[in-house]
Amino acid sequence: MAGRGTAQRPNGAGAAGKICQFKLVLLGESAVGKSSLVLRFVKGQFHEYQESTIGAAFLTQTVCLDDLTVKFEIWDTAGQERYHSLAPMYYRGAQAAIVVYDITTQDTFSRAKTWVKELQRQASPNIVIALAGNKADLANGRMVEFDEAQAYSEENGLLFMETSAKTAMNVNDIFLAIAKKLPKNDQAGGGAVGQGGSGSRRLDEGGAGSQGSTGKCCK
Amino acid sequence: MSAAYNEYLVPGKRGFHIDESALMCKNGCDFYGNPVWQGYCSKCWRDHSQKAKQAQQLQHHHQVSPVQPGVSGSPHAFAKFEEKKRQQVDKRSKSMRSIFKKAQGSIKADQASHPTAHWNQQKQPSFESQQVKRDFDDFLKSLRKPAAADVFKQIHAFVEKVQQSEDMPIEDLSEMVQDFYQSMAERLQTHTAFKGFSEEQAEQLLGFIEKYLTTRLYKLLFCPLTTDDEEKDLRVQNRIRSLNWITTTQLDAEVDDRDPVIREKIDQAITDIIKMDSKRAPQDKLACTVRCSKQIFEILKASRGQPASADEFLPALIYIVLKANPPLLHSNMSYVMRFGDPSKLMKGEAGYYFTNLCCAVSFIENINAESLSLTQEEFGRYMSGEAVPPGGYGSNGSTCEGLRLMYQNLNALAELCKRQETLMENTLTLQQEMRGFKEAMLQEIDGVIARTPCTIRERVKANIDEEDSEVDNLPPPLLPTPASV
Repeated sequence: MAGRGTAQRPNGAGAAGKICQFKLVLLGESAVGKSSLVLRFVKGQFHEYQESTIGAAFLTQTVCLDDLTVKFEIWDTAGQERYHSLAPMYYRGAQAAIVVYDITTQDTFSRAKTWVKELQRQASPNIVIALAGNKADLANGRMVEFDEAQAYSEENGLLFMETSAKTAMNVNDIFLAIAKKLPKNDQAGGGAVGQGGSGSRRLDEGGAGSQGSTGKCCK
Repeated sequence: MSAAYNEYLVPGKRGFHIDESALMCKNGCDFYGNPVWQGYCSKCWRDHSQKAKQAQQLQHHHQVSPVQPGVSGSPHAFAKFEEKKRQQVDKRSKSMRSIFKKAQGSIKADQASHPTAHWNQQKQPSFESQQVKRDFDDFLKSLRKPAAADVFKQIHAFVEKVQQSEDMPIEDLSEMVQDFYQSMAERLQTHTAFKGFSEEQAEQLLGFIEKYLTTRLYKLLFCPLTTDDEEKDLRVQNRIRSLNWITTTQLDAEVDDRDPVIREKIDQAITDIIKMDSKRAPQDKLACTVRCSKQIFEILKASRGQPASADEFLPALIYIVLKANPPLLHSNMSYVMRFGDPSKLMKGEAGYYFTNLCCAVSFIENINAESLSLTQEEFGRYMSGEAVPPGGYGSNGSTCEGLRLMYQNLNALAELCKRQETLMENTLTLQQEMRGFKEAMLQEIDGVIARTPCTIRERVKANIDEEDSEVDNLPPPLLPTPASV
């Protein structure tokens, strides 16, 4: 209920046949605009909140990719340093993560790097990690160079975009890019809804192998 | 213990897979592992625990250390007897609960010698059991006959099976129950009696099965004697009690606990989380967590005037847990993790809020000076009760109503004092301004007077009868002329 965005979807659920569901965690220092980014993505809002929005901690949104519907389940995390050690409990089992920093603060970028490192070490090996340099609309106060962040992302195999929740720049794009990069074979993807309660207790080798090849991003 | 919660959160079964490497059996046998079985798959876990049991039997532990069920597997029969005895002695004075437990334990001992005692006990099911039985029966009636009959048969066979193996370690029971869920899920897809069942119907039926089973078997499954759950409960409870001085600001929780409207919402959230203990089915316990979380969002919205994100939610949840000190929190959470649908704990709204609750408890267990941005010395003094942090009246509020009122009044008085002071100040400035205004006005008037001296010119009297040359130039007065008729 916490804002299960049904209205104003940027990419409304189409009539696509297959539905894949993915868990995506949001990591980042507390004032970098994690929730603004998600609210922009899910509800198309920035600041002018609707009455129905009571919280932006857990939200879902679907995007369409060709014949496929990708449903994101977005788990926000508390960004304060004191809660940092709890992050693994959130990203366990997540197929995607967006690590957000604020381009106007160098500190948030360094903390983003620690999160990336941690994700690569502790999260699922096939997790798709995206780095988002938020508040790109405040380019005047820029402290983190685009090239620096991009070089870092390339080095670590991350998706990278500078975003702005305020102007909506690259917001849908980054989620779409993640959706494209996620492995979609239903066994490994962990999400094809149709498979919900079935006894897919055993993962066939093929599934794991093909997933490994798409998961090159974080190795 | 946070590690324990972490492990539980890895989904094990029922076709919900996300993270293979973390999910695979520790033995590397390509099967899935389950945290409840220490990361082994059911087969390897059985082997492993069997070995552990044998090893224990060989060693003959007479000196029983507190049994760590997750570590030592199933204790040897004698060790178990010792353990029970130890618990009975240890906990004599600890809680009412342990007294009830003890009574239960002795019943169990009787039952071992008289198997028929089972049936006696079954004849008087609890109120909750009767309720869920009625609901379940109604639901079954809505199904087709063969399907209903099959579910009924399966479930009753299973209930009996569990009741007969009640002395099993909780991990094995959890495994048994999860296996049953799994086999039922598979049965719904493959068995002819369930042909044509929609996804939703199957989901609903599985939900009912979980609810019925756990409610019926609650006494066996919840906080069993074979575990140290009760000790952990007490530990968490005492920990929370010793932290009751924590304020919202120390946690970064933007909760305005002075506002009476928000206070009411806080009380509602506290009630919701406490209610968790009164529900029997894991799904109902989860629902309580979700309700509490939603209430917290309401609190945050009312306090901040805009919707909250996780940055605000988690601290607020920690604060609510600290204020509520929910009864048997550890037992309730372990129970949900052992007997709930694992996919519901990893996914969806309920999973998200439950994860947050696990995080909150983990944080509370590991709270230290650093995590509250306090110095070691301050932290020590607050912990020992020597000092109370400033602005912490809210924390005392729930422990003592009188004290809370006093603090509220003190606060109100302080506020009034402040307002009085500003009022005084404002009056003085106003006075000064008035004075200044008066002076300025006078000065200005003086200035104007100085610039325009008031001289009264002598009045010249005019004599209209005086002869004047101008008068001579005027035309003569008009003469009246008679009108011609």
